[in-house]
Amino acid sequence: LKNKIKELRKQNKVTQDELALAVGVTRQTIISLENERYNASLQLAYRIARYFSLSIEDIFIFEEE
Amino acid sequence: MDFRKKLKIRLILAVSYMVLGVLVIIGANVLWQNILGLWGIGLGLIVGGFRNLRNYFLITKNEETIKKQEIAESDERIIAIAHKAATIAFSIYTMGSAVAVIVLIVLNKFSIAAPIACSAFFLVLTYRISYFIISRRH
Repeated sequence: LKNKIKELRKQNKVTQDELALAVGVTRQTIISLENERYNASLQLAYRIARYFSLSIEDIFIFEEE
Repeated sequence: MDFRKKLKIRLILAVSYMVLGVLVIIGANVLWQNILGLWGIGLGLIVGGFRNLRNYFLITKNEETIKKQEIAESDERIIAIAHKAATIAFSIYTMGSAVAVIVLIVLNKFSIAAPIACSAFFLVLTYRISYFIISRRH
């Protein structure tokens, strides 16, 4: 699962800390998501999408293996 | 449960541990003729209670620290890591126990093999029961 979190965060001039606090996770989780080491749950994906006023599909890209 | 309620329960538990520790030490001196093991348990309870009390005051220093702790404790990645670690620990323990039991039986050390086998058996049994209960809810 790829994502555009880092890209969107930079576009919107949001720090990792600010995003983490807004979506209710630690900064380390945002780092892991940005580095694609961790896949967000559906709930977290929704919260991130809502934060950027986008849909989940706009942020997370599912790639079939 | 509300996080502030959780914190209050933690505070009550921390104080209770310390009071219980003092009571155990007094009991060890007065009632049970100064048993060293009870002194250890009492001291352990006091130290544990004190540590929890200190953590409570560190967390409740201000609104920001409370919010940060709440996030840290409900962070899905941290929970996922804890579950993965528990799964690995379970596998290592059960496999390690199985190997140890076989080796000990070959070496004719049945008295050591038996408690290890029992402990692994009860762990697997607890897992199976927990799995059954959880699967009925999900």
